[in-house]
Amino acid sequence: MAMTSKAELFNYTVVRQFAIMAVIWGIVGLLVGVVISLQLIWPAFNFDLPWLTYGRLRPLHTNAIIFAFGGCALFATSYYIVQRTCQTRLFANGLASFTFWAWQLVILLAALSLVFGITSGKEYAELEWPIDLLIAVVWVSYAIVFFGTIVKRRTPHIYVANWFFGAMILAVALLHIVNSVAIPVTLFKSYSAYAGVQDAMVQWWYGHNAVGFFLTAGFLGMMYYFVPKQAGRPIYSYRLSIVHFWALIFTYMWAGPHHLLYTAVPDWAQTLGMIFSVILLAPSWGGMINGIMTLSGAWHKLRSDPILKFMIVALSFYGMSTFEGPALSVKTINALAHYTDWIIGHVHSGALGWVGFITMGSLYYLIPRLYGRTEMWSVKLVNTHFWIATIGIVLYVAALWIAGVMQGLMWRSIHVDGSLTYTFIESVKASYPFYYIRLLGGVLYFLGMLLMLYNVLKTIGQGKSVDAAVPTATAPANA
Amino acid sequence: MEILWLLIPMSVLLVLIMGSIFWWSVRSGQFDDLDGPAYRILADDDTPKPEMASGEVLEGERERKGMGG
Amino acid sequence: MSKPVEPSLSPAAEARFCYHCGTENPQGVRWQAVLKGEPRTFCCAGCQAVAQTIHAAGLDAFYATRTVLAQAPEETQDEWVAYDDERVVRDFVRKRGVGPDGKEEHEIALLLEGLTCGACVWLIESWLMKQPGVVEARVNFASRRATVVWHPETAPLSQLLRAVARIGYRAYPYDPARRDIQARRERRTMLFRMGVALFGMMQVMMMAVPHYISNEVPADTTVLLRWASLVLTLPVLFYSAQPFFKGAWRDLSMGRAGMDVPVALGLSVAFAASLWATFRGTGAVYYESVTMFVALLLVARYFEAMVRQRSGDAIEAMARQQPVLADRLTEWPRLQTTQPVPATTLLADDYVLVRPGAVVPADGVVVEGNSHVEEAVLTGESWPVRRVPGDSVFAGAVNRENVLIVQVQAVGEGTRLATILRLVDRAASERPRVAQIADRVASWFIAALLALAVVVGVVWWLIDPSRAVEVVFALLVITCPCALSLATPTALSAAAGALGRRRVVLARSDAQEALARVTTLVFDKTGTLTEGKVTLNGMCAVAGSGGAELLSIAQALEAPSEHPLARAFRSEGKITAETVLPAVSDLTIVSGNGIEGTVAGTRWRIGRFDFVAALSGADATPVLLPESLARFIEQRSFDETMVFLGNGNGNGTGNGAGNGIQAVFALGDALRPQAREVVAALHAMGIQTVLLSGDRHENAEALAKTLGIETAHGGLFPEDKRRYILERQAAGEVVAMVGDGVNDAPGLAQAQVSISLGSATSLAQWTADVVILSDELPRLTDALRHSRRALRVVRQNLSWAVGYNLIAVPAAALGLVTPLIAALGMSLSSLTVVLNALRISGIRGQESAVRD
Repeated sequence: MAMTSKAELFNYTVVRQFAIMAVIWGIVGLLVGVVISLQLIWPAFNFDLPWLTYGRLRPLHTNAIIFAFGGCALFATSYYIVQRTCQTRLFANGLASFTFWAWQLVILLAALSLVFGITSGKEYAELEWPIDLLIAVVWVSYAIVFFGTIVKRRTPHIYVANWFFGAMILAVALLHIVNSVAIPVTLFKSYSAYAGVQDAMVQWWYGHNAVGFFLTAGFLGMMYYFVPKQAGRPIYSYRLSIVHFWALIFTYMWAGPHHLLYTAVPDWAQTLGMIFSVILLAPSWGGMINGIMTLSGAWHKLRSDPILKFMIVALSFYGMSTFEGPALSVKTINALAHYTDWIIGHVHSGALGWVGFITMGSLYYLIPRLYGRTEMWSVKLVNTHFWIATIGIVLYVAALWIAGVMQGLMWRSIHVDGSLTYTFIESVKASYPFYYIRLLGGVLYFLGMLLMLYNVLKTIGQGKSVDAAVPTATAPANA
Repeated sequence: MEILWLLIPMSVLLVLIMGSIFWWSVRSGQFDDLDGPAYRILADDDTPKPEMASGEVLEGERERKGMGG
Repeated sequence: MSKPVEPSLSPAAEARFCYHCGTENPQGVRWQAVLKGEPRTFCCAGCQAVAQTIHAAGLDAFYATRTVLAQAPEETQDEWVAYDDERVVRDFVRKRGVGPDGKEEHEIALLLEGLTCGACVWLIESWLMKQPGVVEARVNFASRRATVVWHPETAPLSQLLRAVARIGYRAYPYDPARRDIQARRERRTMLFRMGVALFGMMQVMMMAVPHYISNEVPADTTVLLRWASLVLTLPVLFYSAQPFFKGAWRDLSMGRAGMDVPVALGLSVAFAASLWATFRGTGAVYYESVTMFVALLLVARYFEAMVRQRSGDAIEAMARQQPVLADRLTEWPRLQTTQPVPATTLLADDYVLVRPGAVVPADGVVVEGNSHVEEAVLTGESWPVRRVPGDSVFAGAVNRENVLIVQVQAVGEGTRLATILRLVDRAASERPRVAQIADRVASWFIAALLALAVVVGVVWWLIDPSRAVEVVFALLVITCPCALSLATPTALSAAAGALGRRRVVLARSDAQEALARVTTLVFDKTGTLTEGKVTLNGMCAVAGSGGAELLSIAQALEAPSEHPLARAFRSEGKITAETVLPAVSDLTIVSGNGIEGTVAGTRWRIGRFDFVAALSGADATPVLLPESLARFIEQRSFDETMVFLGNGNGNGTGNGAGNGIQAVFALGDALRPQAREVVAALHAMGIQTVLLSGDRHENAEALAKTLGIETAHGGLFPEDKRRYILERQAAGEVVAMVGDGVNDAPGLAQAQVSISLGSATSLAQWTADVVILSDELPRLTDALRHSRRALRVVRQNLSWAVGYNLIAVPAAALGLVTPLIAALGMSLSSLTVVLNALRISGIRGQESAVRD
């Protein structure tokens, strides 16, 4: 049997680039988070510089975590998974390389523009129109690379993780384009094409689905590949994964208005959002159950494998925050929680717990393989990272839950004559102790990430960049 | 709520698009075997091979000849 | 696949059990290998070789990910070369033309044996992909089939099949029948219909919810929502609901009122009214009810189809077992040259060679060889049975040990396997009486309903025209005849499927109903409860004579006889062709009495006491025996037969002196395993047991006592049995008769259900309603239990339907129910009854199926 002259290689280069940048942007994003939580306690930490004020750093923090850290992680893992599960090299490798460099440019531009106070004012979509255009171009390129790879796949079946990534790419493209439609006035200023409450509707249709597709569907794709791989066991029920995929993408689109409870949005639209948010619980939990049950019968592996620990804690937080979300969208609960720190706690249990942990677990699986190693430089350090981050996140979330409930209760408490019992500032003062705890949690989580960077650099130093060969159909049998 | 005149037709369109993707996936047999794919990703060995793997095989081979024969 | 379990064994156990297949390793001989640095032990060289092959190919992950231990590979000879013959595989290979690399590509469908869990899927795939010339290899775990595309000039087909065998599986070329392709297309269509309806339902629901929760939805939004709902309802109504309209049209054109009629009518009315309201801009719309109704009904039907398909699976698995190829011995008995031919081209009286590991290609008689064959596919019993020359073997059985040469008696449609399949097909094509009645009732019910709808519509039109459509729609939708039309057959076929997997064939569609009602179970003979095989249980010789010598004389005398008792002598001490028995001359067989012959100059008789005693000329009455023999006989149990051996000479003094009896042999029939438990289980189920035997009354009585059977009658003729059954029936009992079908035709015909037990009987007598293919008595209680459950579920469903409709119909007619609630109610009611029926088989029960 004659062999073909040159074996085709997977494109690991772009995966490596995104994976490393995910770690670096993670550190940046967390650092900014630590700084603004410092500012909440000691406002002097803005050093009286306009560029470092809370109002500018907060969007920088969210953008860095969601789009820089999360985005790079999604690019890295989706490029890896789509190649491995389709058994083929990426489609349009030049374009893939373009997505990397252009995405980094987007991140840099975003960081600069936000620090300089250039913003469209829409939450999670603060960037001004030139950057929005660049994002659109990158995203379309991403779609071409990803779906092109799917089309040239060597396996007839498309693995469920790719369905999640595919849905994420399409939905985010749509959301981004619709929400970013704006009328430019200058290079740095534009006005939304929608007005008033309409803009709010579109914004939260976007905001909610960005969470749904970017932070849920995308990371579920990650989960559906790396959890079975790391556990060495097939996903608990492949059937369930398919059903919950379709159910999730058909339900998510509608729950947006729950972000606008008790606003100018018509009451019926608010209730609609509430109902579908509650329904959403079922498909969300399908994913969690599937992930956790994959480990059933292999629980002993958890003892020795810190990567699996990351994944299982991520799934637990996913389950928790997808329960908390619908609960918060119930009007009566929302009446207590809206605008309090509970919401911040909820967001962070999703972002730090689910998104952060599943990404870290996946990267710990991925990075050694990109450098010709079987495991990280120090598994012990991974374990340390796990414990530091877990303690950090528990402190963080618990502190804000308590603070949030306390604030809600204080705000709604009234004297018999109908006047408020507390002034707003009193509730702020009462929150101080929790802000300290939150800061401590955030610092711990940040330290964990620094350990990760160190471990990653050591692993890279120890190994060398290796692009694995695509397993070919006509490999020699009688070796 | 004029915005609904944009959002609702768009979502109808979206549903139709998703429906046709679903149609394609049913037709192309994506859901014919819902057990195998879960294992297939495990089959794909993406761990770089440690250097000594081939030596082990030889050892096994030798023992087989010694014992089985 | 159910919940994965960790199949790896603890380290201590690992050394004792085979790393590959998990069976206990034999002591002493140890097959070992070091895999991935770990020492591993194996039960046999086969397992060891397979494990090493897997390891060498870098596919170790198989051991880490499998959830069920592998099967030990069978030792096979290389039969694969035959598949390189163009003629043999002509029907299986599809030529795909020239591939992208300029080489000719062929595609073949393979049937795989030995798949235990999903991990096998990728093992086979990855392994095949490593073979030279293979372009593509796909394994479908659900159907246990593989599709392989390869370059025939690089690798002959035999090489692929051999490769599969090297990792411990077996692959056969397989002709993907049309039925298969059709079933797949239907499944896909159904899934898509359901998917469209469900997605449509969810979206339309969202558009409808605003109106449920608020009266303040602006008018323009309402219009928008209606039009959007309309667009989304169109595919649901015109695509997903198609089967209902087609079904209704078929029913109407045949002048029947089936359950699709009100469904189609309701959908049409509601949709038309909604359409009208949408265009006019006022009035109520029912899009959400329409879509939900369609979606949930389709879900119910999807489950029902799954049940039906699964009950067919067990049978299809049997059909798959028929081999494709046969090794025909062209020159037998002169030469042992074989020629591989398609099994379908065999003729009666052809000789075929069946290699170890191969499947017997046709029914026939063994003419040479001596082996164990496994008839799991035919009997559900995986324990191999011994086959020697003169024994029958059946198509579909797997030869386990040595080469057998078989003279073909029946091929193709004439085989036992084909007959079983036909029986099942026949039963499946009949509509059971319960279902027929249900259909008829449903038909009346629907006709009445339609009439009621007209009346209600008119009345409401007079009271409040604006609500007439709504009420009529709600009425049409809310009634649920599906418990009758859908759930009854579902329950029955679920139970039939469960029984089929245990190799209990319901040959008549009404059998289940009758089985469920049985109050009295009649065993038609002692042989039904015993092994039916007489063995020599003990012997006693008079003092002073050599027992072994007398036994060999007895064996020599019995050697030519075909009497069942004679066979017992022959199997004693493993008589083979080499065993030298004393020569017998002047041998005569005296029918009904025994055998007489001369051994070493002495005249001997063996058989009944009086026959043997008569040789010495002594008077046979009274029966006098030497004390040792008499004591021996006393101690034997009633159901044993005594065979006497004597010569004309005297036998000492005392009792019986002079009648020449030298030895007595006790022959008896062993009880079937678990016979006692089965009888006890029957009593626990409230079923009376009766033994009717043609045998001596004492024998019947004794057996009945041992087993705990309540009533026993012996010495009956077939006609007596029929009369007895008639009496019991006259007393209002429902009688089932169990037998092997021979000699008891009148009784079997008289009983409400006849159950034929056993593989031993020839097929011609299979007139029974229920055929238990294995010899295992516990299957009997399985059959009764499953039928009772099925009938219980049917009854539950019917009472549910009655109760539901009693409440729902008046409520709807009075206008108390909105169309949405009606759709929800009816759909949930359907789903309830179907899911209730589904409990019988259990969605995940497939693992317990017999290996196929």
